[in-house]
Amino acid sequence: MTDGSTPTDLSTLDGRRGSTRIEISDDGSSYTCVRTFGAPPERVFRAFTDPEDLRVWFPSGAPPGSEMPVCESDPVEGGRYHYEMIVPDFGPMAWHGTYTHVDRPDRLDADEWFVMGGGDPEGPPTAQILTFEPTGDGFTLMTMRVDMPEPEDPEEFMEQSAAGLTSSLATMDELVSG
Amino acid sequence: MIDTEIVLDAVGEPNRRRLLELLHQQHESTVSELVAASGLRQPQVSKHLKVLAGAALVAVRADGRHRRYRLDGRGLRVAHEWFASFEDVWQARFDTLDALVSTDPDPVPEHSRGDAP
Repeated sequence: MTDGSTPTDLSTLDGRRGSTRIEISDDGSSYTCVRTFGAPPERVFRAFTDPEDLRVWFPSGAPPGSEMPVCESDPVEGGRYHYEMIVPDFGPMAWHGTYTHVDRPDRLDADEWFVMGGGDPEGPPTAQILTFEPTGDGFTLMTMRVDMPEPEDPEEFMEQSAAGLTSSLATMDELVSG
Repeated sequence: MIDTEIVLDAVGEPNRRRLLELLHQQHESTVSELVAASGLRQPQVSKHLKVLAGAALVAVRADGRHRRYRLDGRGLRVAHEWFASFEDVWQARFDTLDALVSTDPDPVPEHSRGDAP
């Protein structure tokens, strides 16, 4: 875990339907998530980019009482997206994104700025790559890769903080299991 | 009660993560051993160990005139739980997304719906 150059081994990720697991790269600068969805790529692509669909699934997992007052998405190259959530005890959280590559329904890239507390987006963005591969049975294998800039303020940037936990997680796993 | 933000802040710094890795490998180390292994200067190592100890990520015991540092599971558990909640969010989101796309096939897949509602 010290050289940071080891690529993420996707074979260890679970792509079965119903299972979501996040794998963090050894240097903590990116994470990858693989998941199978029960619909063809065109439908899954739409779910990731259509505001009406996003409003259904994106707030899932947020604490009760959370709201999503803003949900905009223009899935063309150079187009923007903007989601905002109000989460009890956390206040406003916003996701500002620019689609950098749109190849419907196979691939969707974006630069994203995550902002807590209602400020303007600033600093380097995270870079996201989503790919949607058809499986033989009409389902979709999605791979989400998120590259994170060096954390500037781990307390404020949740995603970046998550990346920073790599080493403690590895040690944690052995500590609690051994 | 260990403060999650203090733990996350502590592990957010690369040199401190390096020290955690070294302690994991060595099981127990003195400051001078950590200085030799990390390439950091002694005052830096001491400063980082103080932050890690404050976050319950490392524990220290006196052994004669040496102070020996090792990992402390309490802070690591907080970090682990925090990360698990992050993973849980994606799991919940994707479960809902899966339910959406598998029960509501798109009747007009090629139709552009780029406008915000």
